[in-house]
Amino acid sequence: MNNIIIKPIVTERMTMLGDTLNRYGFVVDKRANKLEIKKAVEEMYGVTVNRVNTMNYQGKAKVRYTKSGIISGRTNSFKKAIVTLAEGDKIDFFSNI
Amino acid sequence: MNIEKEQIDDLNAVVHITVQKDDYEPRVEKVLKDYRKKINMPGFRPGHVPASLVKKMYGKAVLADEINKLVSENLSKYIVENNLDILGEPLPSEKQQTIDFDQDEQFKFSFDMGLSPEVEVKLSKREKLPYYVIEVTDDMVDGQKKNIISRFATIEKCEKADESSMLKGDLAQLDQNGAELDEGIKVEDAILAVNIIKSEDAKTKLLEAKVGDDVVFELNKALPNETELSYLLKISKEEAKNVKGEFKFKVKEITKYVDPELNQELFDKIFGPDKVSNEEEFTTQVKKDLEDSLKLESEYKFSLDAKEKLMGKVDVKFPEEFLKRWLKANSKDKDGNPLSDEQIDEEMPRFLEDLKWQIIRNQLVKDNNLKVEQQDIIDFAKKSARLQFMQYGLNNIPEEYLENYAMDMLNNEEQRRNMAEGAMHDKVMEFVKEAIKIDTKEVSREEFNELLESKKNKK
Repeated sequence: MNNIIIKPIVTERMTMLGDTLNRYGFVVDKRANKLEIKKAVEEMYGVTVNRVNTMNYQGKAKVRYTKSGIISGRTNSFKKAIVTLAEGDKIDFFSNI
Repeated sequence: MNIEKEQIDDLNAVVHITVQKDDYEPRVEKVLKDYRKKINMPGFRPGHVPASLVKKMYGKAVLADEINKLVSENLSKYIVENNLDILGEPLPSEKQQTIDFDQDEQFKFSFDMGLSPEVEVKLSKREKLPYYVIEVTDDMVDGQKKNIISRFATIEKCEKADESSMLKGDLAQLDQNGAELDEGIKVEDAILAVNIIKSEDAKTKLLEAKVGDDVVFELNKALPNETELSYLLKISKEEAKNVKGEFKFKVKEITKYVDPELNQELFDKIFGPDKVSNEEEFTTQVKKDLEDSLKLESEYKFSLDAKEKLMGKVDVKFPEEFLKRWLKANSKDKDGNPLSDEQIDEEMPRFLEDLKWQIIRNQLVKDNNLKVEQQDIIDFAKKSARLQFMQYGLNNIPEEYLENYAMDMLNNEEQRRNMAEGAMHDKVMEFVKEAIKIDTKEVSREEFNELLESKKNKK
């Protein structure tokens, strides 16, 4: 598995968590476990990860009513990981803009 | 933060300031935090923009700004704490390495400073300076008396004109045959003063005229000055240039100034009630006023002499190269362009002269603990207020008016600084007068003026 981290989560809530508790959120590969996530984040950002919390989100059912009938489908399910960093470490998601 | 001074010679020094990350980081963070609360960025609600994004966008500018502030604060603190007597302001050194705000975490700044030279101003009774007192001659007193009295002269009607008379009447332009021009210039109640008439012909005619007479003369010869002419005929200057030919002046009234009698009423008017009661006292009072105003001139001359003496006595060396650079960086000509090198070279001697005098004066002030108190400034303001009124011939202004006027002047920041400066100058001069031997010389008005003139020419 070479792509564990799919994308970082940039929301107001995550910004707040990052500022106050030094926690950062990622959407990760569903098959990855906490240890793998820890390793991936540490490698990618060069930080020390203290703790990883994960949660699986079920994709939502979506229904669209169109001219040619009802289209029903489902969004992708994903795994979310909240990593807590060691004190003093930081991740800057905007460093390469 | 690390500040060290490198003394190049007596007059030049370089101060190196090294700023570490610890020095500036907290300040930068604080400013960024403030920024974060205020900025508006698309995609984020105000106040919810990620800190790292704000830093990315504004970090460098804030950093440069804060370091700049930090350095200048510390530099001035260093100067104050170490009692460095500098000339002008510190300038960034020419050897300054370029600063890379992106990479470096430690910044080193170097500033060149020009140090004020040490001077020693010693005054003793062995030094001699002339103090010129202008002799008040009887002629001057008489002239002044006449001048004062004529200020209160009254206008009286009379039958025949003399040199000081004013004539009132109707003016009308005439054609070649001596008849009134229908479309010519006509002025009713024009006033002609005999002593401004330039042509002899018109003057004799006017002097012979009586009330009711018609006088005919060429107006443009009598009044060659077109300003006066345009004023008299109530036309523009351009039109006045073209006025030619003869005019008829029908005299309606002749008036002249009559000097008032020397009596108590007049004395009261001039000097305020009950100060002067007879002519003898009047003369003494006039003489005293005259002496007072001449004393100011004596003082002025003395201050010039003293300044020259002190300047000649003390030899001061300046860090000229530095001052040149400083002048170049700070002065601008009228249009706001920086001065060219030639202009600077031209300005330099005068600038150094002023600077030298300032240094000498400051040294005198420091060595002798001269201080300008609030009261001194007020006194000086009052003095200059009185002088101003005297120029308009108002000699007896009540004290409270003066006080108010002086206070008004002091409310203006710039004037206040001038006054303080002037008061300081007076103090220094007073001190100089005490410290050296004064050689009082009495000279006449003309001699005194010559002395002043010769000084000016020397410059």
